[in-house]
Amino acid sequence: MRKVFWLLIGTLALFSAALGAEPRSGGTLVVALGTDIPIFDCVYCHGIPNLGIIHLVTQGLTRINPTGGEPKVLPVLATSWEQSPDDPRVWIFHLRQGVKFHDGTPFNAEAVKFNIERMLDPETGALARGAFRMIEAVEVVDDYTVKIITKEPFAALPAQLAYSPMCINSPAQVRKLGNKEYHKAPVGTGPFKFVHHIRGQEVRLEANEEYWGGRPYLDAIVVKPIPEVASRLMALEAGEVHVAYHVPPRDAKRYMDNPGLGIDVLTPPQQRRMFIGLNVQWGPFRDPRVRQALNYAVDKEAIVESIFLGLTRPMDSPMPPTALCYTPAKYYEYNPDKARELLKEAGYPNGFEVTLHYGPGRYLMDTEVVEAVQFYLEQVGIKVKVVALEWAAYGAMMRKPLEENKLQMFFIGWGLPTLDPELGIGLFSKAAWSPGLNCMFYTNPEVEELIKAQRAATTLEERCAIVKRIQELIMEDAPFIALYYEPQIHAKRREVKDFVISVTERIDEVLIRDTWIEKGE
Amino acid sequence: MAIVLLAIFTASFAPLIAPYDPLKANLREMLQPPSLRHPLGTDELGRDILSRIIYGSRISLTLGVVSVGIGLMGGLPLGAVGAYYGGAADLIIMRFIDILLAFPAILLAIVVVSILGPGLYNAMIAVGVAQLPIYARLIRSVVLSIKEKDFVEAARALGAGDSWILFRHIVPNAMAPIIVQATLNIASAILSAAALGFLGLGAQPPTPEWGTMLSKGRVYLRVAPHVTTFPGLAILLTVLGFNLLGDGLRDALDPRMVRTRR
Amino acid sequence: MGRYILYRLFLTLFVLIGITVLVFSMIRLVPGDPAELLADQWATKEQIEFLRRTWGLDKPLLVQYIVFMKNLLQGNLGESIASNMPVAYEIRMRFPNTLKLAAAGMVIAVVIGGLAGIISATKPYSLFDNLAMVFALIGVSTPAFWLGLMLILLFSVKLNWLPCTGADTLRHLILPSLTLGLLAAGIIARQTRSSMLETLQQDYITTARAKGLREITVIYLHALRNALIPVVTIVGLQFGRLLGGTVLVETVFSWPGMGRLMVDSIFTRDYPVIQGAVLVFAAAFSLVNLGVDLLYGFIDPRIRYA
Repeated sequence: MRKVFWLLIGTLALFSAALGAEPRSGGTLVVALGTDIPIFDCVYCHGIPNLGIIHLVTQGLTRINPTGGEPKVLPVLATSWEQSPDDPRVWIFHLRQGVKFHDGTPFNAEAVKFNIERMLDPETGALARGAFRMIEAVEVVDDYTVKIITKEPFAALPAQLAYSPMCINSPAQVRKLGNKEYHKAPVGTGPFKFVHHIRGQEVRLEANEEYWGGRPYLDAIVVKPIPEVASRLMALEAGEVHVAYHVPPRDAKRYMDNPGLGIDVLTPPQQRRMFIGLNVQWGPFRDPRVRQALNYAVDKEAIVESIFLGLTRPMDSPMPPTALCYTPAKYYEYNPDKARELLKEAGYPNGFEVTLHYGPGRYLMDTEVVEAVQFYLEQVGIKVKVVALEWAAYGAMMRKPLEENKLQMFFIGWGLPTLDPELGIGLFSKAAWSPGLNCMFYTNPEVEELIKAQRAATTLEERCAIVKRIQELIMEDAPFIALYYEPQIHAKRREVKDFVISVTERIDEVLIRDTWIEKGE
Repeated sequence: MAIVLLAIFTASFAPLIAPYDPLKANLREMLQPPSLRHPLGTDELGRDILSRIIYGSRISLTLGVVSVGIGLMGGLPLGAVGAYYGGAADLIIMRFIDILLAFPAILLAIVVVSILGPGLYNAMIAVGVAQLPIYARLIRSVVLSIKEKDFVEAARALGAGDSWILFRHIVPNAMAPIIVQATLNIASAILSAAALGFLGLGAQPPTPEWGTMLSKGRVYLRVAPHVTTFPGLAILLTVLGFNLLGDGLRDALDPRMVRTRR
Repeated sequence: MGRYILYRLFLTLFVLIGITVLVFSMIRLVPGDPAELLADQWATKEQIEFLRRTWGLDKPLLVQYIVFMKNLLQGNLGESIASNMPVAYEIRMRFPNTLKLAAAGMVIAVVIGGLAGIISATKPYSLFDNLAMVFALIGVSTPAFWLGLMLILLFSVKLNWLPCTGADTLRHLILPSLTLGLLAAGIIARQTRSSMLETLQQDYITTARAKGLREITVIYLHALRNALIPVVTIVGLQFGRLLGGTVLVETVFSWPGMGRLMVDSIFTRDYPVIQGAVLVFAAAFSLVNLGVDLLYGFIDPRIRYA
């Protein structure tokens, strides 16, 4: 009996030693992105994973909860915030104290004001200036308190400030180098300091010894652009990189099935809605019954299971499941008979011909999905001509106003980097018609009213009740064929521990401090 | 020769030979390895690869031949006329060719595809135009060296006209390298289409074009290598056939070729 | 000779001006502009127009072209829309990489392809000839990305001998240049063989042989020289093309060369970079061509420069 006891204790001890390996300092983490970081300055850079790297140096005020859970918005350089009870247009942000930029200058309310104003200043020419146009003024209350006033009540402000192009840069450095040159030597408050950025080749960052959250375990991070997915994966397998972004489902499965390869698959929650937009002002798509029929005609579950190997789920709301106030509003099950019936009712017993545009290479497995949809629609008598366009040309087609817009059906993915309904459903309003992104030209008077109403809501319950109704209305109107939420699939080598890619497709700018590399392989 | 005939035969009778509909997707049978049901396996949408290759022979052969045709029709006369007459004609033609040559093929392809709209035929134009300068320059260099030769001098001495000399004496004598080049380029046209597919600008889905099948299948290189292997083999065999054909044609066309071999 | 070179350089200038007009108008004719592309989900019409103004794209085409040419004459290629860096700087960062890759690839191709072609031609229809020609065929019918991926799979993943990404050391150069070289070797081998074969049928070769010259002298001194013209044309063309970067190989090996720069810039409609890159490519290409033409005269003295 005693022997068994000791054996048990011994086994347990071994177990816990294996499980609870202590983090160690040192090592360089090599990350492979699918894209090239064009410029190391938040206001001029595009591409969320790219911006995520920049955030390791120049952090934001807030960030989105990396798990996509509640609360949706977490602190970074702002520790807490509240909406003024007297005036819903006024927000107070309390800032982290005792933080220094890498150049030694202090982080304070003045710096926040400087950066928001830099974003809004037309002279700067910021790419995402439009995303912050709701801000009217920024006022310094004291060193660590800042007041942000919006033009209209704007419930989503803390989430909006977590949007990647908003970074807090050292005002002294920006002034010293000027807007245009600042990207050559950016200075922030992050866990890593900028070393160099050779476009097309690599970004190198080194640990910030004085990081406010404590020195990170890693000594350095190197980021390489490897656009070709097959090469990216082979670099991962050969051990040349530790982390590879955007892994096709089949290869993810190969890694899962062969633990001996020493590669872990990361599947952060989804936030991108993948659907076929229907121009509701075009021919047969004017009739909601036709649009619903198309939704019934496509076997979403088969697509999710066979193309994505079950790594995601079909779309049942105009918002992703990680969004604030998400409700599973309506799911169109696969029912080709019902689809044919609805088509007959609408006066298209023999179907019709339609053109579907898309820009291949942009989204995971896009051509496979488009071909599958084409096949399913063919089954209910709808002949789909697929036209693949180079992305920029496709984008230009989408940006055309209604009178000139030639899109009938188009495959697109809408990300929701703020996880907030403001953008989540805001794109389904007339205000977002092209050249905005709503090139379905969808509008519904009731939805328009409700979108305004949720903005002014003062409690979360009130806001979510309104947003739930909006989701139901949009699903019923079906300005799209709701397909699935794009799975985020990345991979890392097993010796990399405690590494997190956030729901927003960014390496989390706070949790990266705890990432470490186990040596001795 | 037999291979080319086989390819042409396959292309002509595709509907009779192919065991399945090349476009019929079956998501429940994706990426299956070769089996009795599907001799060459299935692709990423569960379509029968054998049937797709058989139908694809039509598309890829047309693509290869038409784009080489476009290149030849443009390039041959320009190069030959330029080299023969020399002077201002040569100057202007060759500058035009230089501009075309110095213009990156990829940019040209994107421009053609973006302006004319994407699709197989426009891809052919893009590939063909990109090949045009190759023929022009090649024939120019050959004509330059031939036109000084004795038999040309002799023809001229006999009072033959320029165009007679050019197209009766010089061009046939310059055909050998051109034919070698053209047969090779049928292959490279098919490969260019694969490159366009690599960049997402090739044939439109669900067209079973070989090059696009090959480049799309690379994603499955590690999990289902047959998806790229078989279209690759089809291209390889066809190319081989066209090359042997080219060699044969060269022997037949070249009047000076002494048939001492074998 | 010197006058001829000057004259050719003068012509090249015209070609380059033609190129600027062509590139400038073509990239603006193609649908999509950087403002539409880089504007995000919140962007309104105002924001898109604002970005266009920021980059000077709201002005009439002719005005934009004049501004471009004026800057060009002062040696200024403009600034990249994506990176804010001078276009000249972007090109300076990439061109040496491309040159390295192209040169290494061509050396491999000429050595392997040229030798195989000559030996094949001297012993036509022998075992070596047949084998070499089969390999040449495989070379010309293999897509670059496929060969590149296979080499990575073998040498980086399975054997772990060579790195598969980046361009820091000589070791990084091996796989991409091998990919380029092996593919180009096929074309060169075939061209060498066929023009050698043809040359060997010529009367003066028979004469040389009849004179009792040693076979090796006949082949290397008499035949090769005359067979070189089409080969040099092909090599020149290939090399010139490679200077524009080889998009596929650069993509597969994440090689930071001109090809990637050009394609990335085309896809993001970074007009100044496209213009600059095409212009530099055209200039380099024209120089290579001039070199090829001069070589003709060197190889075949019967060609004179008028």
